Amino acid sequence: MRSPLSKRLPRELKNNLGKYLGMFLLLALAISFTSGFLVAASSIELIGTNMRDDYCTEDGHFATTFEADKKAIRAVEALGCTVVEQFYYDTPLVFDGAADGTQARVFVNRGERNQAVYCEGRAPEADDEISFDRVFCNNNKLQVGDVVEVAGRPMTLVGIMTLSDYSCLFQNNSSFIFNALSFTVAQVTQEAFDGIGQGSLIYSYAFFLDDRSMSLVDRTSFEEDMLDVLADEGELVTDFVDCDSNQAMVYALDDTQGDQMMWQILLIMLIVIMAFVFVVLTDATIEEESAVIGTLLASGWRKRELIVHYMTLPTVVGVAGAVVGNVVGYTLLVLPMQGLYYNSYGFPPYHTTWNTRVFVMTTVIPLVLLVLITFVGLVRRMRATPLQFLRREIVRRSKRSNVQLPMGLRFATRFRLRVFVRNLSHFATLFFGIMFGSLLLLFGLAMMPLMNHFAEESAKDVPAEHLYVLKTPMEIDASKSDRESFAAAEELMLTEDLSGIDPAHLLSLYIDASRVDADANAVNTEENPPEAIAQAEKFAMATLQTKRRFFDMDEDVTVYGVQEGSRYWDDVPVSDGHMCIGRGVMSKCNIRLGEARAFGDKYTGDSYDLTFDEAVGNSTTMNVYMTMHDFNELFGNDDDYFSGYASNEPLSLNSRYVATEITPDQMLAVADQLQDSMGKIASSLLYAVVPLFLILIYLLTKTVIDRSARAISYMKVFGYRDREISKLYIRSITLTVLVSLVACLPIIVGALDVLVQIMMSKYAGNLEIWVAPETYVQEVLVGAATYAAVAFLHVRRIRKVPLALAMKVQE
Amino acid sequence: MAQPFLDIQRLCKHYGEGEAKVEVLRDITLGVNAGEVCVLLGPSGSGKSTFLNLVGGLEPADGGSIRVGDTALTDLGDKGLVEYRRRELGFVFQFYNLVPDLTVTENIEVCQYLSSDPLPLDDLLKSLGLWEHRRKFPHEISGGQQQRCAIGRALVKNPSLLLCDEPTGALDYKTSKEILELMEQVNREYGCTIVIVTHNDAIKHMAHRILRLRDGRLVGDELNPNVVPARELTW
Repeated sequence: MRSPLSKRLPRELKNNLGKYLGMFLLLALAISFTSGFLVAASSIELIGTNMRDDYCTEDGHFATTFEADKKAIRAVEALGCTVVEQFYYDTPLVFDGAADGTQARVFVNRGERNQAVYCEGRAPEADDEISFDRVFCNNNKLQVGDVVEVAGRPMTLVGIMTLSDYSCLFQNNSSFIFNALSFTVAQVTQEAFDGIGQGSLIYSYAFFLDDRSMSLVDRTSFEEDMLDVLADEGELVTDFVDCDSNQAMVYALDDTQGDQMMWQILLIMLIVIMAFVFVVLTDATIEEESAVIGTLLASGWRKRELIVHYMTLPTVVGVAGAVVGNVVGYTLLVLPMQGLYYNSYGFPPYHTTWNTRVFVMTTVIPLVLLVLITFVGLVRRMRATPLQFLRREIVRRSKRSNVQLPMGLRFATRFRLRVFVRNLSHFATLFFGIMFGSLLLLFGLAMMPLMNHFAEESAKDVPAEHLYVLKTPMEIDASKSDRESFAAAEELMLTEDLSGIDPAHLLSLYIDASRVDADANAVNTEENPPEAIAQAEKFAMATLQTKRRFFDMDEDVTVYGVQEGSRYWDDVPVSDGHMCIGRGVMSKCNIRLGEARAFGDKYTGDSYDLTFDEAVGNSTTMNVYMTMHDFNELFGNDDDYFSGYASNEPLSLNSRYVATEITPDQMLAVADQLQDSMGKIASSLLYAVVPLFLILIYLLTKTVIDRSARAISYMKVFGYRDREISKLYIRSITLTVLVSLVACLPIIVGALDVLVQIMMSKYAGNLEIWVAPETYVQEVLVGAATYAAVAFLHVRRIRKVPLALAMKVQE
Repeated sequence: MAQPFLDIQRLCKHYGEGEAKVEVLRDITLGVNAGEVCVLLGPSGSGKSTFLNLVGGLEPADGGSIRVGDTALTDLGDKGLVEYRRRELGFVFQFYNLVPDLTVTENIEVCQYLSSDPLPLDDLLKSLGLWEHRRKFPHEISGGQQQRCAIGRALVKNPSLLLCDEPTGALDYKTSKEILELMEQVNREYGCTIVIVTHNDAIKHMAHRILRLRDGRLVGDELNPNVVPARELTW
């Protein structure tokens, strides 16, 4: 015979629709948002990771000044790789609505390597056909069939595609931001390519290792051999990028991985919150059903039979929530979530991949948690005797309830205090619930202001208006004759066909070039005003890695060698043997002053033990500082080695020697990039968080107000008006909610700090919590508005309860 | 002489320890024969409800023994007590404690489910006067009907012992009499032993045995030679 109690289930569901609907929505929303996002992100991550094999992406590329000699390429290939020509032009691109300076990087139609993936249309087949990157086309509303002007020639857009080595449109690897608005990659036929002939052709070569599983250290060593071979063969390499350092290839993938971390943190918060809610709801159910449970136990029902009964509905609702959450997540949300990435990055066509880990995290764990917590809660509560249930003694009466209140207080005040004292445990529950909910809300509200703040702080870490990072030391303080000599030597080196030069000029070049000291540093061929030269300051820079505090991952730390008493790093008091460390590095990597810490070079495998004497900078400072003397000694450089100039004046430098230029504005541009790449994720997070917060507050206030419903009914029986009851009773709850919303702020900011640190552990840089003042206000306002809405619903329901009924069921 | 169906020897129960110790039941010895209606009287705080709880296996005794039929309650552990309640016992409470979202029929089925040999449900509903209300929920019927339902729930298992804790305590005069008549009828038709705890002295007239408790001591245990039908009771 089926348990007669099972007939209660649909009615219990109907009578407590708010509770179960809340529970269902909490699970379904949490699961749908997190599974939708994580499934999309993990699928994209898989697509990105598999691109290396699926689309045969390169292990790296290099560029030479002129087309490399076949013999040189064969010599490189003999080391154990295949080299493929990937020449390109950066040409002006014009079409209706194009931004000024829009450029296309035009390649010849790709073959099997670094494949192009067509999303729409086809590869160009005629001389007047071209294909562009999908994201660029989306941003500029370009469609197949549109006619554009490339290098002054009209061409028809016949294909929209993604190049597998350009998942993110970085025009230069040294750029801080990608640009999918005014820069695109393009493909044309060989004939069309030959016909462009405008601008300088870049002789770029992609290489593909025979041993694709080579470790980074081995690959770095291999690449050094390649460079040696190219130099031996007389090739002048102007660019060399390993695939792991190629932002166009790794940036998008890194972004998906980082965002997954953010959502996983949200998921963990949701799981903790759901656990808390389930505990509260289970306790409320048992309390409410106390007399019935006592009667059933007294009648001979076994505790396990009752546990099974009381577990059934939460489990069924939980399973339904999980099923609906997954269905919605996989069907409705995966594509919008996927769009967050596909609108910015050029990944190959999307397909959802089942991910067991995500399923376990988003569905199995919350569901098991719900069942387990309900089970443990019931078992714990069922320890009470039947008599305790019958007498409703399962709720411990606090001694605080008996506290004497000063008679001098007004009745209303004393009554409110009584309400507060009597419901202290419930209010404590509400406080913790509000704290969890606020944490969730603040997480959603604070992310974007935090990112902007991070970028602003990072800008302060750039000590000068311009930091020029050089590929090799280059002197700017040189005489005119030295500059001319060096310019002559360069011209000779860079000219492919010397026979085309006027013999007299050639002779002059040779004479000038002969004055160059081969052992000395390179000399800047550009002229700069003496004042600019005078205020510029040399520095040395290298990147090392050390272990992060969380996870077994390395953090890139910039090591600066700066001058003692530097005018730019004036807050970094280095002296020989006295090293300084940025507070960001200390925090992110858990480094203490006076303690030796190992730093490694991932490219050479070398390790250095460094001990720091002083902390400098702010929480975003991810640099360590030493004197240039200590720097050169540490890395075994010549005494006069340096690798850059800090300058408040713009310097005119030979671009062949400049690796990158860092400016405070570029750091601020990081904010735009974060807005672009993370902003949509943060917004989607907020869409998830607000309804979850609403449901959470509804469920928690419902339990408290339900518990108070009977007392409120009594007040009505005594003749109190609704407004008076509200003053005496509801106001206590309202006050508790408002005080909780404000009082929990310091706690949740502390908790958020830890969460953000864990979340950012997988990102480079150190991001510590910062909450904008207006975010606090927003948080409290949203919380108060949410409470007002749900309290209105509850109070309206209480008002509708017939008073006779409230009295009738009373013991 | 045959052993009584409910045989209680030197039963003791106290709450608290030290100076706060309160002797609730002191050295109670009594016997109730099978099929008797027994009324336990006493003022508030005399130990009536505690006595019922001990007999119902809801609380352990501190001393003495309780035997119901062949079952020695004081020898049973928690599981044994559950089986005892499941098999032998029916409970009726002052405040009915019906499951609010089950109909009258379903509330009774809750305990029918526990028995391998339950009473026929339809017959029971008819004899309880609940046939017309069988599909109603507790909040749709009167207090008296709710108590009838609670009695039906206790009876459906066909228990050998029916314990009633102030079964008319929450009811008006007329309804109380109807409930007492129902108990009388139950005792007659189903033959179960009934212990009614009450502070209403008038109810003693319908009992075969009248017990009196005061300050935890049994101060009266008498057979009633002139059992009065419940309908004739007045108070």
